[in-house]
Amino acid sequence: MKKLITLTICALIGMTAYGATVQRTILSHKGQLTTYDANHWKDAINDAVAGDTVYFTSGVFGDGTADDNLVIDKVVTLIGAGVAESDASFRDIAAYDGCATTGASTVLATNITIAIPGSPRLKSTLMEGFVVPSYYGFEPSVTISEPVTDLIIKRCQFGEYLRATAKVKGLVLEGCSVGRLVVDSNMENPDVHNCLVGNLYANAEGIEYTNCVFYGIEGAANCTFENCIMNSNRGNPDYCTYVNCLYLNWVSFGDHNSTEGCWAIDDVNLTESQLQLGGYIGTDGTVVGPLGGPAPFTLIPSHPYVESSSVTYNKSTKKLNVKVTVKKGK
Amino acid sequence: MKGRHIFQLCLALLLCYPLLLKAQSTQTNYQYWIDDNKEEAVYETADGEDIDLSIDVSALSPGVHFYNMRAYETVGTKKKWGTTYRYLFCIPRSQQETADRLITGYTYAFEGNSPTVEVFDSPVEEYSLSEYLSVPQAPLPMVIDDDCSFMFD
Repeated sequence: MKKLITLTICALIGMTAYGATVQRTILSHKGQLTTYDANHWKDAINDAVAGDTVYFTSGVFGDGTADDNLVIDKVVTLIGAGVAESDASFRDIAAYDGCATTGASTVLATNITIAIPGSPRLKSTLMEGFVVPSYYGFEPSVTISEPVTDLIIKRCQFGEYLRATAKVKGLVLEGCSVGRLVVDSNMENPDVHNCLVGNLYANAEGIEYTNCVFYGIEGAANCTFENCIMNSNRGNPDYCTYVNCLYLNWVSFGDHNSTEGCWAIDDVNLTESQLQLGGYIGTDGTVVGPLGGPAPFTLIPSHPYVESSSVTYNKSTKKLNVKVTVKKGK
Repeated sequence: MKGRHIFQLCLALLLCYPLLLKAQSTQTNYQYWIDDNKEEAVYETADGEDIDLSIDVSALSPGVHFYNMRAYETVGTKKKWGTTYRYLFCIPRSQQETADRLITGYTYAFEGNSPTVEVFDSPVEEYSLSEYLSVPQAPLPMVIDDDCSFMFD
């Protein structure tokens, strides 16, 4: 009878764990895996060496306070579980229509500082599949504070600032959502494509943005917007070129801007099929905005991921019944 | 005659090749392991996206265990691994048919903190723990450390 207590506790644990993963970071070093529990998740990055990969399960990492800071100070790859639609920024926009979702996010509720010493040139993606939200009572930012070349960030959602305080050459920002993107003289030749940008603070000239949607732009002199959707021109960019862009018909571009093959309509919040039907096709033959172009916007990871799962212990057979649906990455 | 057979064989292979490719592309390659026994990880291939396993865990001790799995895609000659998924499950202790002893209380502890001891005024045959436990520090959701253990005297 006293075993009933054990059974009750086990049942409680079993119920809470049913179908859910246990939050962990996993360090992959030359094929060897080391697992870190959620209270020591940063140790995976601390213990990593150049070339390693750190995987994150879904869940919330970081304590959600302004004091928390994740410092990435080595050439590693951080892979999150992806972004659930409920955690996505600007989730009311049509770009998410038809997007496959993982149903679970890896949330980094912390500031992130990318500070890799030695001005390295990176050869692989630094971050993919994370949400850094702005709804934890503070505004976590992503700051690149040491010089770096070819820094690649893919499929991440940054609710607040992404900025550089040191020279960043060839930043690739692909399929990301950024609340506040600061592109200033520290960013040399950034490649920003297929992104959703809340507000672009473009203090650097001559930058080209491809297949993005913008909700507000400040600065942006002498920039080129190709195959983009301009949901606002707050801040009045000047001397810019717009090629095959879709913009709101009440937007006034001013005398110094030039447009080529652009469209002005009442509502630019269109799904992919609506863009197709409207003939809003970019210079590359795909729809304008994040859903077209070289890397169509998606919330799912590029690597295989679990869509649904059920792991239960059968007491009578003493067997573990595993039912998991795995989707290929996109 | 021989040449004709070779031609027919080649034609058959050519026609089947797309089907073979399709079959390969719908397979799911993955590995799994129990707890931290990564050295004993099992590599499997499932037909399609759904993995349906029944794993004999009768050798495991009662308590908290973890099922870990990760899938990979082959890109060229390299494996592109997805993240590791870690699921908690619990094996209960085998239940006695009859109680020949009485329960006098219980104890529990979080992390490395001092255990809380509850002693009953009078021993009972059966007890269901159904009270809110005071957690010393708010944990993150779904956090149960690997060394988590529950002890009952």
